[in-house]
Amino acid sequence: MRSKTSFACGGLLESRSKSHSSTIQRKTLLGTSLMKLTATSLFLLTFICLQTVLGPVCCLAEPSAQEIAQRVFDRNDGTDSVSEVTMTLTPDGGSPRERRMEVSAKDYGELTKRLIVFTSPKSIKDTSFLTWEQFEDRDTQFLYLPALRRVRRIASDQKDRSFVNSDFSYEDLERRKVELDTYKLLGTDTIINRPVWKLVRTPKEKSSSQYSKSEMWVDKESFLVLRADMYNSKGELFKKLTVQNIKKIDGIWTAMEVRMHDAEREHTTTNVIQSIAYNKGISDEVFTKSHMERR
Amino acid sequence: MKILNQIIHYTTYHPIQVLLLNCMLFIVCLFILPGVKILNTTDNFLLNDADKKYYDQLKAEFKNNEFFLVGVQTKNVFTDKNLRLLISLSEQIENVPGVQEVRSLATVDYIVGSESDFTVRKFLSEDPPYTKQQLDKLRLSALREKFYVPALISADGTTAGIIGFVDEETREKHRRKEVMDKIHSILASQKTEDITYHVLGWTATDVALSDMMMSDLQLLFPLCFTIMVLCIFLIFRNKRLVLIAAACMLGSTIATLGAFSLTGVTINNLTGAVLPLCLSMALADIVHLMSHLNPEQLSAHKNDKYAALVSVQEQIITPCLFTSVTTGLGFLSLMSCGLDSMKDFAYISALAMLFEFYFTFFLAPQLLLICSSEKIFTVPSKASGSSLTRALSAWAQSLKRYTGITLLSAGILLAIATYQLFQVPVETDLTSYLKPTHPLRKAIHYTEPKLGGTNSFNISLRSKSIDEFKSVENLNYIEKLQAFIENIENVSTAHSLVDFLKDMNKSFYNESDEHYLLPQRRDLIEQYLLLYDGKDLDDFVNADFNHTRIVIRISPHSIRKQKDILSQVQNWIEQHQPPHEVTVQVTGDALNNVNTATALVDGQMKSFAIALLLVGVLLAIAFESLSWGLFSLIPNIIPVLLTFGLMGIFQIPLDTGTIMVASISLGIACDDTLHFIFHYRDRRKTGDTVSNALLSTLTRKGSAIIISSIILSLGFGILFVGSFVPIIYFGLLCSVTMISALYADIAVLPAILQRWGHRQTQDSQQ
Repeated sequence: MRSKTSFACGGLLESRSKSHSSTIQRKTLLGTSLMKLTATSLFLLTFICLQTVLGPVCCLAEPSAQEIAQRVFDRNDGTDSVSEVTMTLTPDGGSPRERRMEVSAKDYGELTKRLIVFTSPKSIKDTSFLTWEQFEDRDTQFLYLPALRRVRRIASDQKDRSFVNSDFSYEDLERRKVELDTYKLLGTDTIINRPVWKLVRTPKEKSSSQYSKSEMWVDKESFLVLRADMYNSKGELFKKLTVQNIKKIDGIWTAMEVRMHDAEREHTTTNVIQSIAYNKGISDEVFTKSHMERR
Repeated sequence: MKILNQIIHYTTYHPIQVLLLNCMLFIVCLFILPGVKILNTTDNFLLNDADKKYYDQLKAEFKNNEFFLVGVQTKNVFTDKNLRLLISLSEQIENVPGVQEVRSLATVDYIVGSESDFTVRKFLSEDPPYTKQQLDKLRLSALREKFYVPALISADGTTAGIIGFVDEETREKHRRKEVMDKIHSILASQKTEDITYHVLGWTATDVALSDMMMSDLQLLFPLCFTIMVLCIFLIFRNKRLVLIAAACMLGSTIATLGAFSLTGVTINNLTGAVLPLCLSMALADIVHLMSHLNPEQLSAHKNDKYAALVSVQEQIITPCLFTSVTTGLGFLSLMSCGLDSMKDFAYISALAMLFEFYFTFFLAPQLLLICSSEKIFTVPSKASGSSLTRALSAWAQSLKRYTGITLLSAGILLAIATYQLFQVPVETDLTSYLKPTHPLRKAIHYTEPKLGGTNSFNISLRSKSIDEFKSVENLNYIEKLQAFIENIENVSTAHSLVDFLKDMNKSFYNESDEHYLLPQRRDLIEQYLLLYDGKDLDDFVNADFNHTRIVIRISPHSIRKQKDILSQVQNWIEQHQPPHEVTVQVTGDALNNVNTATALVDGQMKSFAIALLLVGVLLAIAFESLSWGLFSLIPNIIPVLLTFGLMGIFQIPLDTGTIMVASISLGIACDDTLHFIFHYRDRRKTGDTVSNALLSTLTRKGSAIIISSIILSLGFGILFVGSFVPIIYFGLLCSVTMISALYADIAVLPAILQRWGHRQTQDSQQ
């Protein structure tokens, strides 16, 4: 399955559903059992002491950074989803402005189709973006402007451009193959009272990303990225993504409120999911040009 | 002045204590010397008025204001090799710390629409190598784009521009030089035979001006010191006097540097000139002191060097005090122009005058007392030279015969000078501050006709309500104003939010030129705006869409021409009422430059009037006579008039560099007049006739006046070897003023006294 909530959450939260039990979980269980046994004998107590010290490198070893990144990539987020999202654009020290939109998404193997329709404010109502996100290939995007009643295919390979004038770039909204980057585990931390791994991601090819590196805080349970600090080519902090709230909906962990702050522009975009439903069997027709024009 | 004599008496008879005090003073000054800050920028040379504050606010709201421009000159930019070079240069420049953004053909977006597609990509999106067909297509596309020509590519395709915007931190922390050094090093590494690079724009100009001023300072101070020392040696031929004069000059300099540290005033492009000035001024009073060290003085006091030295000081301390104060007042009058850096210059220079007076009377005598009397009271036979004294005596004798001719010729000269005074061009042109051979001047000369001017200003449009600049009415107003500005002569480019919307509209109508129009529906405008990257618009409109700007680049560096453009824009705004709730304001660098130059030129008249008044009052106090005070102004106005006359003849502009000459020269020129009139009046009081009093004054004071004038003239003349044109003019004009002042004091003043001296003495007695 491909990500459907990516618009609200940002591509760093992208996942794909795969195995339900992981090597990591197995290792954790083994560690817990051993702890129970050690209570009965001195030998085992000594062993436990050693385990406490050596735990991270033997039986209780953390997964590797690459493994965590893969789990983030593979996270389950349903086959399709329909959500209502509020996007709030706030310049630092300026007035917030709100946009509302309906986001529909569906996976087609290596292809994800996503339709975003603005519902307010009035001036941009019914403006819609249809994206066919092609895995390992250039995306195709269509735009419908109701004022012109025209659909245009938008051809752009500039992933660093901002999406609908927000602080999210196209790169932020997309999934990024784990193989494109190198990951390093920096340690553990706590974000919104949840234990997280802290990773640093560096693109193998500089030109493949607008960021020279990204520090990511990955939730140990949901494999959602709860925070990400992205740096520009000069190594300066460029953007900061923070998840304010996560929820399990229809059994799928969902980032309900995601904030992206652009330090260079001094501007923040907050996406809040008002409602979301997974696996509703959305018709393929929704993701077509003719549907955009008919709406 | 009795108290001064008492002080002199005490300090002369207690030289060790005074020297110890001076040592302590030097130690304190040397201790605080590291606190002296050097400000390597011309930013401080701007009027800190409401317009500047408004522009500072605007700069905080919009990014990308100050820029440098790299002009890449070649036969044809659109070759595979040159486009690769452009890509590489743009990447390297973008990675220079302090560079916020780079705009060039290699970085700009290219938006093109067709019936079915809307393409957004980098202009040079395809990777090299480029085929001939691709190159031809790129050339055609680039030369058709309003956003690219002439800012990024010249209309003939021979010169490409790379615009680098410097970040706020670089500007505020004055790190422009670091940025420019890196840019030059990048360009040096990419040098090829068929490519010439030109670097210009405000960042480059600021660095060039600051570099020149600082290198001038480094060259001029030691040069000035050497020449001053040489002058003293040639005049007095006495090594001890040379060393003592050098010690006083250095003392004044160290104390002045201490004042810089204590007051927090930075050594900058303007205040840096205080140091060489300080040397010349210090020497002027020392010359008066030393010229009295003759054997007759010693023998008159029975070879008691203490008594002889007290007597010498008593003769000159009052006129020297007044000369120092009048010169200080000349400097202080510059405070009236309102420029912070000029105020700093004014009061640091005034303090320097105080120090040079202090060291002349509280260091030089004590050092002289260390030497044996026969080694220092040697001056008359060696220093003034008998031939000079004989010549002055002959001139005094012949004054009666030549009074009429002298006055007539002076009258004719002044009439010509007064006429020429009105021919002095009032103009400031920053490029003329650079010698024609300077690389920046060459860069400006070549690049600006190709890539447009690098001076800029903005039209800021504000509204209280958010999203007002999405309204069709407001955007139509901006479009009209922009169209008017684009048609003003010497305006290179004008860009605003309207251009983006027109360009987008054209793209949605298959690139039809007919649709290069501002959409007349608000919903369409808002929908188009969704397609732009926020960064595209950040330069032109704020996130609330209630503050926008038109960015205008202009070619003239002449303040007069810039003022003309700004006036035309201002007139249009006054005649065309902006839409409801919208306020329009002209702002930007060009306006700040115009305001500063105007304030300086206007302030010059004010400053000169204040200097004239203060000097007049002080002279009246010094002579204890209003009529003598007013009379003594005459020989001081003459050099100023003659200097301005020369400026008129040689068309030397009255600009921010030459503006200070009148006030400063008035303050300095009156020094010799004071010495002259003090002695003349003393002689008259003892019962001498006018002729005898003039003979005595010219023979006793004439040598010192001539010597100090020559020294000052040389001191200022040294500035001529500098590389910064305003400093060269300033030195040249002050040098001319010193010679004119000598003419006024030695020729005109005695002639006036010879002709009307009897009457004036009677009047003042009455």
